[in-house]
Amino acid sequence: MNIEQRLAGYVRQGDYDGYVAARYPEIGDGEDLTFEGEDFSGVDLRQFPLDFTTFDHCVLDGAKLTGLPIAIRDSSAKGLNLIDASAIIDAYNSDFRGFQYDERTLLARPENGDRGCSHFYGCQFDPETRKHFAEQGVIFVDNLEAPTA
Amino acid sequence: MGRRCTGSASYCDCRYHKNLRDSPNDDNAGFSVGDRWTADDGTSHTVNPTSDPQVPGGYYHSQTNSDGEKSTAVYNSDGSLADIKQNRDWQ
Repeated sequence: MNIEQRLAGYVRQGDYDGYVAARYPEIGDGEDLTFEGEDFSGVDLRQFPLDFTTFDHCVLDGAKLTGLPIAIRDSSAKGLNLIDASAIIDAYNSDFRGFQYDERTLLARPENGDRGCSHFYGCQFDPETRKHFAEQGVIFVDNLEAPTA
Repeated sequence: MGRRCTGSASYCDCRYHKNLRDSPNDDNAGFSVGDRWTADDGTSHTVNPTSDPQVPGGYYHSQTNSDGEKSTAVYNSDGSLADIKQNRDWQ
């Protein structure tokens, strides 16, 4: 089992101490972490440091998430819960229908420039959700152009 | 900010590092821990709290230039550079 698989296990178990103890000797702050093919359905990920994390071919249905920046690629994030949360998400070809949010959910701060805003490329959203966050400054691109780093 | 930061996080005089050292959550700094922004030269900056158990209450500053090169420095809560392995290139 590699470090990413071990960390995913700690996240699913809600084991913050185990996660931190396993992560920091291997992956420091600001360093990239990629979960591939992991199922985080219904998991509360908010307590875990997941900045600069990529979820690739993962299931995040109904998960609770926060942090910045977070990348989500080729994943299912139906019913993703960002109520009362801030995040900057760069997503590609993923399903965000049923996205849960409230008036405190913040996905973009346009005053901070392009990197201060979430970007969604070729992702599925409920129309009213997309309209809400487009007004906040989130960038939605319907084609599947590969996002730049 | 006019030029790319290339020096030690502890001594670099770019306005982001200076502000980080002086007052990361000061309203006058223009940003705070938990921010991500694009600088005038296109460099992206991210400041987040660290959960590294060696740096309780600290934070980190990560920047990525237009070539995709990323560097990160971790700071103690008082703004000093944390004495951890990850910072060895800054010391």
